[in-house]
Formats: sequence, structure tokens, C-alpha cells
Amino acid sequence: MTMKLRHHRGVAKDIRSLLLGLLFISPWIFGFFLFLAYPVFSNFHLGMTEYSGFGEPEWIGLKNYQELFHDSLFWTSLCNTFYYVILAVPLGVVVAIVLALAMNQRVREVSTYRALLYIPSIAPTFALSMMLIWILNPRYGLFNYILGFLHIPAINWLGDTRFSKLAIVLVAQFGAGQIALIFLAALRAIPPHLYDAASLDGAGAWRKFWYITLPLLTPTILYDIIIGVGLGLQVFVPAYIMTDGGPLNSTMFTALYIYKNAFEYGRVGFAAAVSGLLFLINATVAVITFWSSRYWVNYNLE
Amino acid sequence: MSLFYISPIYWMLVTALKSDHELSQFPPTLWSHDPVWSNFEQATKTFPFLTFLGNTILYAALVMAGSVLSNFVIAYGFSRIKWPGRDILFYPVVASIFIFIQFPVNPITMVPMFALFAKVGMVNSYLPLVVPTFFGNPFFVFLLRQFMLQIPADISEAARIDGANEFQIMFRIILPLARPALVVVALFAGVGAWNDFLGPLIYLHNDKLYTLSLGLTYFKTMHGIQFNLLMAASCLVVLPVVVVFLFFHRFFIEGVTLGGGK
Amino acid sequence: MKSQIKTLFAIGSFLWFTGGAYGQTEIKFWLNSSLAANEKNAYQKAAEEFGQKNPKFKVNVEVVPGSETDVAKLMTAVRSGAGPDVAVVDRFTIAQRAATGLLVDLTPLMKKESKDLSQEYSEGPWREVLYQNKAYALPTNTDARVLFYNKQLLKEAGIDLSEFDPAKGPMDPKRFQEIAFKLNQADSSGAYTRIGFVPWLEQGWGYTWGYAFGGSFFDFANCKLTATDPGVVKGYQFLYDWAKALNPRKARNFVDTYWQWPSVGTLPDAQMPFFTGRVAFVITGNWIFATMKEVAPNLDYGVTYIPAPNGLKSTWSGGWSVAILQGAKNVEAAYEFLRFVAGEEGQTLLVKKAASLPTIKALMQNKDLFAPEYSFFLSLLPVSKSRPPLPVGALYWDKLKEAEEAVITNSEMPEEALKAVVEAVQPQMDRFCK
Repeated sequence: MTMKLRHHRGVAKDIRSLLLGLLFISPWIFGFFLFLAYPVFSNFHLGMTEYSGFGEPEWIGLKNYQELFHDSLFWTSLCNTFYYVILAVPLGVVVAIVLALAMNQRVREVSTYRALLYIPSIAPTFALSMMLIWILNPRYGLFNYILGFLHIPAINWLGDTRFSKLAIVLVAQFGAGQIALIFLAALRAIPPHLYDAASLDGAGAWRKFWYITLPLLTPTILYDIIIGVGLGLQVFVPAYIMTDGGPLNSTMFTALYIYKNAFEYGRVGFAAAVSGLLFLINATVAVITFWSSRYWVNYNLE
Repeated sequence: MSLFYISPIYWMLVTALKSDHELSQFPPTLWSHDPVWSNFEQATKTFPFLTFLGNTILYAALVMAGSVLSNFVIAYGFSRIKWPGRDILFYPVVASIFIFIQFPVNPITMVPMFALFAKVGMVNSYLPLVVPTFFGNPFFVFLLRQFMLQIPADISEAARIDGANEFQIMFRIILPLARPALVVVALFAGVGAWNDFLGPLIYLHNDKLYTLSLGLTYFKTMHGIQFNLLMAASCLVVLPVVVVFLFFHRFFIEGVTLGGGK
Repeated sequence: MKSQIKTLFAIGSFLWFTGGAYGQTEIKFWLNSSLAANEKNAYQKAAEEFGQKNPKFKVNVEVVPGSETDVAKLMTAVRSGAGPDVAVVDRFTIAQRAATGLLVDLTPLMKKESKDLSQEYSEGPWREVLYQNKAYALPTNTDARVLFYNKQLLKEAGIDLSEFDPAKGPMDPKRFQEIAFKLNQADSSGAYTRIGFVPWLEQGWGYTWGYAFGGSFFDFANCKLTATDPGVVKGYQFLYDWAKALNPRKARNFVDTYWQWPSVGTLPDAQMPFFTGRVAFVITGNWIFATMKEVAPNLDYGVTYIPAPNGLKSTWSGGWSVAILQGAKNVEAAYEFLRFVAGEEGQTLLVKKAASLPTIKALMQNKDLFAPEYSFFLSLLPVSKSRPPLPVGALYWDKLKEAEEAVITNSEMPEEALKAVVEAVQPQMDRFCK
């Protein structure tokens, strides 16, 4: 009897704490339905219509999806997007860590020095993109000038289908400052006594990085990968400003394809269908990332 | 490596100081031989700089307010109180980081969201860009939750025993402790809004409402671009953020914790 | 406290900004950011003058990001009811914008007038503003594309300039290639530092060469895209062969170095390859006079027909137009403004400030308006063609550009590249065929 009563009291307490918890996270629940569930549902709904953005959508069933399936440009855009993600994400992690290590140097004017390294990430995208078109100029650009010292022949970064995606990837690296700050914080959080102990054992800088720093950075790396993949699957602005999808559609990314159809060709229904598919891809990749993370992320700081 | 990384910034500054004549030299000169400081003045005249600056500050401030407030409360619910199902419900939060990494406008939801905001007549105001930030962003919820999990549970417990209710604990005790992380959220959200291009591109349709990042497109025309002025303007756009960064930069180091406590 | 409420109120009204009326009727007039600076000035001036003549109206000019085919801002604005009353729209996209429901049909307004506007404007530009026989815009200006050549460079290379006398008609492409290739220069690594002529630079689009080789792009009788028409294929073949002769990769590197092709408009005017002597020939239009006056006033140049087989005098014209947008607050006022901008006053401003050609027949007769260099362009207008005004015009343009890119990189043969264009666009066109 007493057991049961206590049990009852426990349930009541559970319900109270549940309601309290839900109250606190209610803005998110509301946001989740309004800003994610609704548009996702709506994408599939609009995706079954022919809709120019004016007047009423006209129901056409699965025709948009049929068209998509045969649309080589859609597949090209998807391949380009994956190409981008596969290249940009690992490179992004490396650049962010190197940048964070650079920011972690002991110099005199540390805040100014860090700010300097951070500025490229906050430069307006439009201006940075314009600037990079010059820096990537095949003959007079800084990139090729530096490669020239390494005896690498001049590359036409934005004009050659073999390099245009790579150029967009490189350009995106100038945004690494944000994530580098997170890495920097993680670096600072590593207890110094770990390094001291390793030094006593005679470990060099590289071994310390490999056996202490890197494992302790894995949660941040996971975080960076999530952000990188998310951004990569939605890559839009640099291609929109610098190449408009060219040359030969080599930088036609899925997000740009959505934008063009929705807002340039007036094919809102078709664009919604593409958005719906992009969502499914996004969700699948998210699941894979989290599933894999349990095998390599180290959550034990101590 | 660092030098290379900041080269676009150097180039930006040098270009901003070039005269039209020097600008037209091919190959471009590596530094300005005769710096034209008046380019900055000229740039602010080419587009309504002060109006755009004011708009951008307003936009960024509202986004910062929304992000700090909503994400703090949500993350509090996910970290400082125990309730059944909490950790399970946190999975969809983390998973949706993938979608909301570009916030408030992203390519996946932009088509239907635009249609919705158009229907309720909110387009051509900051509302479609600002309102969503008041409903949490998984990216920030995650950051804040990880930080708040590090604050010992005893602190809240002691207050509870003293008879404080949850809201009092949240605002009087946890809020001050979480300040470094909140500054990080504010700055990330603010910088995001400051440089947002896609959002204003789609939602703002009155040049009295434009933000700086969108306003920079004024410098591009069909036949050419006023490069020196564009770069001068860009320097002016970057400057306020740099100042803010210098001011708050130490919080970044204290405010981010991702390891442990998952 | 009071001041706090005031601030809140100010922020609130700012958020809900709609723009107020102050007794005057306001007309919101949009220019897109890709208009040349001189063109923007001309439209701005026209708006001012209209306001001075009609004090009851106030025209608010706004410049919005966008381009000829990228009207995303216009579409999103109009869809949400925040659009302008009047906008400058590239004329060849009028049919497409009308088909999506973006524009207001002007026919009822025109009927109230005493004169028949379709008779006032020249035929080509007028046809472009029609969709299903209704007018959706008024043409403000037109242009013509010709071959410009740098006299000094040609003289240095010992070329007889008289061959380019327009009186001799268009030069044969083969002969032209012989001459142009004499002007190519390369550095020690083999990279071009000068190319006599790059046919796809500036205004050398697929349309230019398709028309030059006698092709046509649309069959109105059967509602079929004819990108695979033999003339068009020959035009693209010309591009293919020229690129091959130059070496496609080297040519591309040259263009990307001196013109920064990937995003047109990233180069300051003064660095245009024709002004800097990086190319000796270029195909471009009359509007260039306005920029030339500013950045290359001493350039010694000549103009002649676009090279074409069998002496075919070919060119094509584009141009802008002004249209009333769906949801315009005051259609009558907007129409009055439209008539002014696309009328004699507005067009005169465009001619004077932006080196445009007029679309009003009467203005073309006005000899005082034009400097001598215009006469060649004016003489071309009667034979000038235009891009077919189709409800899929923007898509067709994008796809033809894609095919052009495939051809000049020699990655596809003209025939197959153009076939792909038809395959991609015709299904979209079919929806509008009856």
C-alpha cells in the first residue's frame, strides 16, 4: 500500500517535472512545428503542383518528381553538392584546427592578433567573393602567384570545370574563423597537466598533439562536421555571386537550382519538390553522422 | 599560412585606397602608391550608408535579443531541470542543426516559408527574419546546454531548498553564471545577421530597409564595378564587428564547452 | 517611461514599414542593379522630371539587386504585395513575366488614349512587349550590336583598314579569321597576352552568331524551338572552330584573366579588354559610347558589320522596357509615368545620358539628337532581329548560353549541345502552346 502510494506520488512528481520541462522548451516545440515541420510538409504538398507564384497552384500529382528523375541538371546539381561536401568538410576541419592553433599562440597583442585572423570570416560575403575573383585570376591572382613558387603551372580556378568546385571550396574556408573560435575554446579547456605529464615521458609536440589534443577535440570536430555538412548541403551564396552555376554547370549546386527555379523561372512547385528531396537527403546524412559518431567521439575529458 | 589567410583583408584595404587610375592597372599594384582616403567618403555617398548601417544594427540587435532570450530558456529546460524524456527530445534538436545551420533563411524551407510570410503580409519587414529567432535555434541551444551542464547541480539544489522557484533560479543564479556562453551566442547570432545575404535578398523590398550586406550590390552594374568604392564600403561594414570582437573576445574562450556531460 | 514607449513605437512602425503618403500619390519605381550606371542616371532623371511636371505625383526610385534574367527580388516582392508600381524589365523577358502573372495588362489603358501606341513604336521592340497579343510594357530604348575595331592595333599589324569599310558590306568569316589571327600575341609560356578577336566576348552570344549565319531560333507557326536550325548550328560551329583554332583552354584562360568571365561585371569599365588593347576586335553595342567617353576618350576605333557569310547584314537588338507590376497601388498614375519614361522625354534622356537608341519612330527621325557615330547603328535597325519573346525566354537564354559554353570549350559538338537545349526547354514551352 505504502509502496503504491509512493509510486503515485512519484508519477505525479514526474508529470509535474515533465510539464515544467515542456514549458521551458515550449518555444522550441512551437518553432519546430512552425519553421520545420510545416515547411517540410508544405514542400511535399507544393511539390505536387504547378505553381508560378501567382494565382492558385494547380494539382499535377507526381509529375514534378517524374521530371526530376529524368532531369540531368538536377542530378548534376546533386553530384556537385556532394562533391562539395566531401571536399569542404574535412578540409574545413583541418583549416579550423590550424587556425585555432594559430590563434592559440602566445603573442603580445593577443586580442588584436586573433581579431586579425577572425576578420576574413566576418567580411561581407559579396565583397569577399568579388575580392576572391581577383585573387583567383589565372594570370595576376595571388593564388597562382604563390603556386608559381612551387612550380605549379597557372590554374584557371573559376573558369575550368576541373577546378571551379575546388575554388568554391577554398573560398568557403575563409569562413572558418567562427568555428576556429570554438576550437580555440576547446584547446584552452585542455588541462595543462596532461601536457606536463607527456613532456615528462619525453613526448614531442607532434605526439602530444596526436595523443592528447586531437582526441580531446573530437566533440568539437563532430560539431564542426555537423555544421560543415549542413552548410555544405545548402551551399548557395558563393556560387550565386561568383559563378552563377558555371562553367558548364560545374558549380550548379542543389540550393542554387532551387533558387533559380523558384525565383527566376517561376517554377515554385518544381522548386518545392527539389527542396523536399534535399530535406530527405539532409535527414539521411544527419542520421548517418550521429550513428557513426559513437565510434569515434571521445566524451571523457578526465 | 596566417599571412595567406588574411591576404583578402589586406587586398581589401589596399584596393579601397586606390585611385580609379591605379585601379585600372593590369597587373594590379600590390600596394597603393598614392592612397585616396576620400574613397571612404565617396563610398558612403554611393549608397545610403547611414540608413543601411542603422538597419543592420537594428536587425542584428533584434536577432541577438531573440537568440539570447529564447535559446537560454530552451537550453535551461534541456539542462537544468530533470524531466522524463528530456534526453530523447534532445535528439531532434541536435538533428535539426543540419537544417537550421543557415538561419533564419535556408534553401530547404525558404520556398514554403516565403509563401507563408507573404500570405500573412509580413514580407518587406524584418519580421520574417527576426520572429523565427525568438523560437530557438538548435545550434545555440546545443552550445548553451553543453555550457550549463557544466554548472554544478548543487547550486540549483541549494536554491530550491531555500524556496526559490525555477524562474528565480534561472534568472538570478544561472543567468549570471551562463553569461560567457550567452555572449558567444549573441555574437554568433549578431555576426550572422550582420552578414546575412539570402534573408534580406528575399524578404526586404524597400531600399529604406536594406542592410549593408545587401546594399553592397549597389556597386555592381551591368558593365562594370566600382572596385575601390566597394572595398572601401566593405571595410566600413567590417569595422564595427571587429571593434565588438576586440571588446568581447575573451568570452569566446570561456563561453564554449562542448566536451563532457553529453 | 514615455520615451521608452516612444522608442518601442518607433521600432514597431519601422518593422511594419509600408511607406506613407503625404498628400502626393507615390509611385514606387524599381531599377535593377545590373543596369549600367548611365542608364540608372537617365531613369532617375526621368523620374525627377516627371515629378516636377506633375507635382501631384512623387516617384520614389529604388535600385534593387538583380539582373536581366534574375528577377528574384521583383518576383518575391510582387508575390508578397510589397512590389513596386513600375519597374524596368529586360524586354525579352516580358512574355515570360506576363505568363507568370507578374505584369499588368496595359491594353485597357491604351484603349482610352486618342492615338494608337502600337503605331508610335518601331515594330521589333513593340513585338517584344506583347504576350498573347496584349501589351504588358512600353519599350524605352533599343540598341544594335556591331563589330568594333581598334584602328591603331590594326595599323601596327599592317592591316588595310579599308577592308572594314561598311560600304563593302560584312566581311566573310574566313577572311576575317585570317586577319584577326595576325593580331594574336603570346608570352614565353605560350599564354595569350592579346587575341585579335574572341567571338564570344561581350556581346558575341549564340544569338549573335546564329543570326549572322542566317539561323532562326523559334518557329512561331508551329510553336517549336529551332535551336537546331542549320543556320544556328553553323553559327555555333563557327564558335567551335574559332575556339579550336585558338586552343580552347588557352582562350578561356585569356578571357578569364582579362575579362573575368565567370561573373560578368566584376571588372571596372576602364579595364574592358577592348579599351586596354587586349583584343583588337569586339562585338558590342552603341551603349558603349557612354562609357568610352568616360574611360577611353582617346581610343581610335571604327565600326562595321558583324562578319557573316554571303554578305548577310545581321545584328540583333535588345533593350529595356517599363512595366506596371501586379498589385500596383495606383495603376492610372503608374501608367501616366510609364508613358513619360517610354515617351519622347524619357527616351531623349536615355539617348543623351546612356547612348541608347530610341524606340519611338518619330524620335529616330530627329537628326539633332544623334552624334555622327550613331548613324551606322540607326541604319541597322531595320534589319535588326531580336530574341524571340517567349514565356520561357529566360530559361532558353540560360540554356543557349550553356550550349555556347560547351561549344567554346570544345567539350560538345554544336549539333548535340543545341539538341540538348531543345530537349530541356521545349517541354516547358509546350505548356504555353495551344
